Amino acid sequence: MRVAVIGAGVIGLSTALCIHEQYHSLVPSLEMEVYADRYTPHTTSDGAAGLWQPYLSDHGNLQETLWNKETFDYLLGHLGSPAAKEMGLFLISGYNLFTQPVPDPSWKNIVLGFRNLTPKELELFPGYSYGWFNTALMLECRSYLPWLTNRLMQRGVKFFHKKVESFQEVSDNGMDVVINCTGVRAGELQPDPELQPGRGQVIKVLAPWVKHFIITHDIESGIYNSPYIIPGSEFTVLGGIYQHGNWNEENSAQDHKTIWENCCRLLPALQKAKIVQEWSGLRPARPWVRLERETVRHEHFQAEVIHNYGHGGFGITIHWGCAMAAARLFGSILQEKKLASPPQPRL
Amino acid sequence: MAAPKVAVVGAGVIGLSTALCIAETCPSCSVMVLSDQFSPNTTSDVAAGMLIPHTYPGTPIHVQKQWFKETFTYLFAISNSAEASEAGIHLVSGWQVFKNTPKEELPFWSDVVLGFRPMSEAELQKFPQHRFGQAFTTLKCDCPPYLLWLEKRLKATGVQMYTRKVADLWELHSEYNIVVNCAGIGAHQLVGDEKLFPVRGQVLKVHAPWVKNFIRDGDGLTYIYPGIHRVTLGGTREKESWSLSPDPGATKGIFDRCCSLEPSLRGAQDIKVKVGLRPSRQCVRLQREVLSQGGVKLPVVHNYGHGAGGFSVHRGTAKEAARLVGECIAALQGSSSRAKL
Repeated sequence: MRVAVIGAGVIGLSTALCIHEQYHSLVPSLEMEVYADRYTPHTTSDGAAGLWQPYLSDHGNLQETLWNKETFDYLLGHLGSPAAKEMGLFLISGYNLFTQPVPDPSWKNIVLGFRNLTPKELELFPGYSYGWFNTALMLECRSYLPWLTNRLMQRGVKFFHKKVESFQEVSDNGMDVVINCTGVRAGELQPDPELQPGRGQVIKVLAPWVKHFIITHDIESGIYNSPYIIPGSEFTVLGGIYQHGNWNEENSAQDHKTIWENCCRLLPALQKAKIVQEWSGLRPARPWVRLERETVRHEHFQAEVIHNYGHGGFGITIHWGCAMAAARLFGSILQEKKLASPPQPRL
Repeated sequence: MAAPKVAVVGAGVIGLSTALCIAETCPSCSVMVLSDQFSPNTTSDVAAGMLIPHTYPGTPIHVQKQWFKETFTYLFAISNSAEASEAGIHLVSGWQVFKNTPKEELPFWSDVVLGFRPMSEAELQKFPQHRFGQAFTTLKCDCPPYLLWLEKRLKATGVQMYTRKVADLWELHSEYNIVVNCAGIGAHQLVGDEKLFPVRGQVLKVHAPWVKNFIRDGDGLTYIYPGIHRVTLGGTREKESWSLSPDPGATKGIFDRCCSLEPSLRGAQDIKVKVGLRPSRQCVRLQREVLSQGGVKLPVVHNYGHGAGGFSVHRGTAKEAARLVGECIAALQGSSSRAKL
């Protein structure tokens, strides 16, 4: 049973690990290979600050809320383990700020200690009259992706630095199942008009005195188009750009100015922070995550594909729930191929 | 009295903040800071600088609360300004956890810090050995940055600082009109205060930049305080111990207790051990005294004995000390004008 995972961002690697962990003992013949043209630290995931936080509204998509919760609980369970530091996983508290009262988010009971901000706390943020405080998690991909890669390599999973041009190419290579975790460029393998880039730009600075995340919201501008400050284990990420439909991965001077001025207004002490790096990336935005099976047929070939892409700006937040769901789809493929039937008693 | 000459003895957080308050409230005063130690070698430099008050048994609670509130308000404004990083002042959130529910569930300072509330069940699950906890956000003064920033502010207002070991306050009587005694643990010898005693504290300052929240055991013995560059792990509270040498047994004890609260600390790097002697007393000695020898008088204002709570009340006690200096000046002017008759 040969499985190809296309894509080595947080989705590809975690899905690969989840499937391998669950099925390799049931399917001794399981051989898994990862194909990607970009590996850490050059994936979209690497540019993300790594904060676990879903969008404000789940748009009635309960499935995604459950996947978010599964991910949070899974990570929380790993916090006390020796692996946490290597994974780039740690707790962090912080603020969500609004210019007017808003309903509580779907994730208020998933995070720890969710509450509204007091008037005195709001004094810290002139211009904002309402907000939340909670404790959430950080999962830094520049540590998490190498950690996932090591776990996979230990399990004998092979990695190939290669741009896959078609499902057929992979199927011709003898792959039985293809896991499509190609993120923003999934459309190159199979057109998907629902998938659009949500361009973001961030400035990484040295500001080790900042211990809280601060995320502002401007209901008019939309998600991520309002300044945010997220302190990591080494750098603090300043952001606040979301440009739907913009494929440009080059840094924009105008966006730099927007981010810098807005974040310094939010936290005046940032003016003294040293800028270390600037980065742009494309969030794989979709109205909802595409997580489903498809039997891709073309002339003489047929491949079982599991799609797992379109996680927008919440890939890290939702990744493990999606990996588990993809693993369940994989299980159903195995059942159909009669490869993972329960052990029969010997007569 | 044209320009009263005021000597402040001591250059820890109490000495420097008191000198600054005096310079602010008495612009005509000529203020000098005299100390045998300056940052990074003061007791303050060892402390984590967390704004979580210590309760003084001998001081009325409303006074302690006033001191804390003044200090918190003052630092809150700095933390919100462009100077925050230079001054070393930053907000930090976290938890105080108790193995047994404390008698007093609401400490006197609960409405001064930000967002104080009991911990939720989910939050307590992270601390399986603890049954109760409080979550809040407070401020931290990182040293040396805060002391260096105070020194910079002092120089800007014309206050000079001199390295000098003062063996006896009286030795200053010919050069200064008023002496302010902020000698901390040094007051034990300097003024022979038997009520002042050291409470030895050993801490580890480690590199663990992923720790963003503080955790404190309500017994006050174990704590994890993330600073700008290092996390302070503590600690010990050894009454009457004068030893400034690190104790390896204590180091292991502190590290193990902190790792039990926060397992990821096992990965902490570059562990530095520091020792400080908390200048402890039933109450802070914040009062005037007049020393006199052979008809010559030297007004003294004492401001020492802050024990484990120096940072938490420093600005409040500094302001009170400055007010007492003002009283000394008024008394000197009153007696000098009487002398003219």
